[in-house]
Amino acid sequence: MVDAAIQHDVLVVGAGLAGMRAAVAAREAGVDTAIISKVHPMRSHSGAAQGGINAAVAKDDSWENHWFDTVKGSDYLADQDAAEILTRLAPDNIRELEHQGCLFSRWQDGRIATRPFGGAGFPRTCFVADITGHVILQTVYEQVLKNGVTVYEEFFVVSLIVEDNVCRGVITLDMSTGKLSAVRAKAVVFATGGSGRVFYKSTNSLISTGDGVAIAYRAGAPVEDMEFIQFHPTTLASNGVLITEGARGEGAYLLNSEGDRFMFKYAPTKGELASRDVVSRAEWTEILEGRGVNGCVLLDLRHLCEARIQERLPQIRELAIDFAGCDPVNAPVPIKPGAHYTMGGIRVDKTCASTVQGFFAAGECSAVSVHGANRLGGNSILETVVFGKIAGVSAAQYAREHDYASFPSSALPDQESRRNALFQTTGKEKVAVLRDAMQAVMNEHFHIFRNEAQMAAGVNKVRQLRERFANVAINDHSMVFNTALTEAFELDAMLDLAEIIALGALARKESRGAHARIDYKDRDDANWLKHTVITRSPEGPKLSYAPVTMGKFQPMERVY
Amino acid sequence: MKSTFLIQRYVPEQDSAPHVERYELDLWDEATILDGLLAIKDSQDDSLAFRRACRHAICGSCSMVVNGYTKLVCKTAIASEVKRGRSELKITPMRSMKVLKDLIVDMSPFWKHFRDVEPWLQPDPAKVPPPNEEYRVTPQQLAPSRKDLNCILCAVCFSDCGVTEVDSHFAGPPALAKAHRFVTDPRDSKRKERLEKLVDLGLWDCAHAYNCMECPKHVDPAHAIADLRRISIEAGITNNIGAKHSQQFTKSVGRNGRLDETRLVMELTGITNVTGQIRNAPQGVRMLLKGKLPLPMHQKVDNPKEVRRIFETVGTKDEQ
Repeated sequence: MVDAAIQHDVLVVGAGLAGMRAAVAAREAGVDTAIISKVHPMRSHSGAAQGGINAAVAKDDSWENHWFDTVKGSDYLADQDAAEILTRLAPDNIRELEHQGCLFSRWQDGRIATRPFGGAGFPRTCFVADITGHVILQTVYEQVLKNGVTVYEEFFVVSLIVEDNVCRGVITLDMSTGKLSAVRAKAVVFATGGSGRVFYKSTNSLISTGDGVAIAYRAGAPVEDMEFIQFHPTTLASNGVLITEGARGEGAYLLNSEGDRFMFKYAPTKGELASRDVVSRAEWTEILEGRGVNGCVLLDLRHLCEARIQERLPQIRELAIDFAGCDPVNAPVPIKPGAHYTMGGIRVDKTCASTVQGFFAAGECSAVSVHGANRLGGNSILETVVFGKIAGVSAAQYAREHDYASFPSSALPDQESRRNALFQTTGKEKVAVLRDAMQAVMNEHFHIFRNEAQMAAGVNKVRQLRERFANVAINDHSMVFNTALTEAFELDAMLDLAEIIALGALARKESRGAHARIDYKDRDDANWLKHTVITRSPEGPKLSYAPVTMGKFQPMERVY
Repeated sequence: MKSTFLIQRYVPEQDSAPHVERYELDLWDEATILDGLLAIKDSQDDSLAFRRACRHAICGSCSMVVNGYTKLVCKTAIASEVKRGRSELKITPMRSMKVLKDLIVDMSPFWKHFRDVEPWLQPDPAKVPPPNEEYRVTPQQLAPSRKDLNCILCAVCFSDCGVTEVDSHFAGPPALAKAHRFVTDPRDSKRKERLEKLVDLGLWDCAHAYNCMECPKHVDPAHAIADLRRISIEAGITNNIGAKHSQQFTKSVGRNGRLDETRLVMELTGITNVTGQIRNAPQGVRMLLKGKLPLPMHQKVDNPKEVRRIFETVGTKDEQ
């Protein structure tokens, strides 16, 4: 058993919205709580959420409608009890954020304003112009400071320690000193974000490398529905930067090379505001059929006029000017679908508990599952606050009922050996080369439209990259901020995830939500209305399936 | 497009002092400086250390000094530096903070100032609405803090601020912009307490160099600081040298159309404060010997009435 220099009742890994919300909830529940994050909290990717957060706050809306829209959006793969919690608690969670200081945009009468968003039957997306995630991240960070939660910034978690199916803590790398150390905790919450960087030109931050999901998987926690990757319909061609769905919510058009608003061909009622999987497939079809503009379609905001754009969408105007050389006030913006959101993640129940005792997860790294096969815009940061809080409460309760569990003596030396191996190898492979190759494989073989032969070839290519990773060498051997080392750890994690995504996708012989197969075009509820569950085994990833929790909404044909 | 990066390198375990290394790049025309750094790390030297995350100006990670000015490098095109006549990009870490490695600085002083302004809403508990209601806040009431909300805490202005550089006590532009966001929030109940504390944290120490106007997110901290000063005087927080200086300065110019510097010093010290006036005397003598003492008899402008009329029209509260 090792002595841990640091120990806390509840340890939260990740300082985005879900992590900080969990930490504040655990702290308020009266237990000793700390956050570990590989970046300063305000650098977290939650801050990049632009368009808004859904809640039925309006008088003539109802949470039951939001519930239905979420389940329909998920292509009926969401667990309906989890989606119920998400939507029923949404309005109070929004007002709680507001009471904590979040300055939501308002109607003239002073109430919180809402805007229309994709796949929603009512304008129920609350927002702060087009910087919603950024301002909510500020608010939640303010609560972390106010509550005096300890934050270990720029500490990189390298492993989750589980023995006899009981979580004991983590091993972490202090990036500023290079020191690996054991951190003990009675309960651990992972809120480590998405895995978007597995794909090429993702909207995601360079830090969204899915480390948490891979680390949990290696420690024995099953992961769920990882084959469902959301391609966001509007990303900039040059660097994949996101243009919010709020642009279409405010009334922007999607045009093809012929100047047609093509979306009504694919979604007769909702048009541009169909759900994201539908819009991305439509755009990609237009591009494949030769009606694209240099591999893109056009997002036209011109009719909204400058004043409206400046009031509601100032950030995306600037992003378009900076990264596409195009002012949306004067010209349509070329956009294309880009990898954006990981619907799957660490398999957890409604209380955010995983199958490993004392180990919880919330936010994008988890699959609770409220998004199923396709997430609605505006539901991601909602999930982080609602389930972040639930995870914090659950972890605090677990911590009160359990003592620290002993830490296996091999846990720390194992990680030291892992680092030393990267320092000592004489291999010739480079992290950046393998990372670029992996991203290219995933984009080519597991894109918006998928088929058997292409995916099977993709699985092989991913496995070859995993073999090559054994020969990865890094030149930087310093201890202080060795970002070459942390990038190697991140690639190691992403290669696991790439294989999991690939295997889940290859096995699922139907089209559902974001998983669209040209060889199995229809949803197949008789055989595939079930969650993919992948568990690590000595022989490699082991696939199994678990039932979806159904409820009052029976699967229907999904038309927008 | 070809470009040359001259990057300051420093690895504490190996180097006694920083040195500069040269990298040649050939990237696409729209490439940002961050794209350049990533290309160097990926294909030339994996040991180059810098912070980065979102690559689109929302996370605030990648601030550094480029050819003398602090920039958020994900938002700055290499071509823009070439356009201003810089054929080479000299890249150094941010100022006013200790360098830890290469382009990474210790931001703890920055975050300390941020925490010092108590950056969280402090409402009157009796006025918090029930859980099923929000505070009513009109769009007009939101307007004063709208720019403050844009702040991504990138520290570009903190690094370029001349006062921050010489005075570690000064809260600095971002912390003051954050304070402004709460002081102007109609839901907050600690306006006066906040303002009194801000005086201690250096509200009046800003020297109007306006380097913080070059904000990548258009936050405009200089305006936030000026507005906080105005609000603090309106709130009656005038028993401090900054507010007094501002008031006397205005009075002096308003009276004669031209600043009466000698009288300003005497009034700031307190006309009846004899010991204070005596303490100022040696400074006065030194200034006299250097030929820097203003004329004892103050010269009015030719038509002070004109100036007084301007003051009456504008109103003294807009003195900032």
